[in-house]
Amino acid sequence: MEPVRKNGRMHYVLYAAILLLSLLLLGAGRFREDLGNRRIRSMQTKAACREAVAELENGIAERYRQSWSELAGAEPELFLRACSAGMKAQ
Amino acid sequence: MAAGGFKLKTLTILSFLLIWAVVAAAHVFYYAVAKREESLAETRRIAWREAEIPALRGKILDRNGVPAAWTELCHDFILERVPESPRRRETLRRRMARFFSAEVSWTAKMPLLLKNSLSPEEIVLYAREFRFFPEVRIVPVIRRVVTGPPEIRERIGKTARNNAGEIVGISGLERKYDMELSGRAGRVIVMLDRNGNWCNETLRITRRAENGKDITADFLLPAGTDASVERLENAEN
Repeated sequence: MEPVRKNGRMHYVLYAAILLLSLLLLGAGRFREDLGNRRIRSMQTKAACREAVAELENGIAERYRQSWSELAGAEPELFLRACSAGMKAQ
Repeated sequence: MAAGGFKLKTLTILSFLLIWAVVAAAHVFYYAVAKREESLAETRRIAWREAEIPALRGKILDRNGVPAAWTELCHDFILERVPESPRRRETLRRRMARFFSAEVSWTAKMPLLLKNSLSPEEIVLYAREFRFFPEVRIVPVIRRVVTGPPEIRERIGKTARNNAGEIVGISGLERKYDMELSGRAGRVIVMLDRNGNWCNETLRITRRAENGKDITADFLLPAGTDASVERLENAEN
């Protein structure tokens, strides 16, 4: 009778471990997916900002155009912020 | 008796913990369910901002395609308001002293221009160095530059800002072709952090800016007119 009970307990421990591991894997998967989505979203935002900033390049003085193009390409969000105006609450 | 006292103490502590848990759960329920929409609206109001991306007004070209009027975009660095706390004011003063030789007067009329016509390198530098100071800001300055002899300048006409802050033609070709020359400003929404910095992950361009169209006029700029020289002179002024 004793070994059977022990065996039964072991089963429970095993089930709990499998459940815990599954939950952890599920969580990790979701986290990775979220990270991936975030990276894609960030790249899309960067591309949109780069495009918006490039539209303004024509207005930049000739002497600054080259460096504007390089720096705005590397940090489009920063330059978009520098160009935006009329900040107000939504 | 001792066992009874211990039981009573345990019961008191457990009751206290139970009440605390119920109150905490009620609070979570209140904010997460009952007041959810109201709280979200309040968060949006506090953190979300909408800004305009300027559109460039189109150029006026002469018959040979040489620009006679165009829009120039430059950036100024300004102090918008004085920090309230004396400690913060001192920190900002020390930070500014590293970049500007002149001492900033806190009693001066705001906004105070710290530096005009920033180069792209300066934009990056100041944006990074002053990112924890929402009191100072890099702002875009848009101006219309016109070149050529007086009679051509007169034909081109003048522009002015309307109530919405947009540049509109008020005379000459600027007025006649205002529809074509005017662009449409874009829009961006973004969440701000407690320092007023943009949280770039939340940034969304909700409307793309559309620059105005260039128009070709029937006049001819004199051969000696060098638009690039004129541009530099105007930028320096």
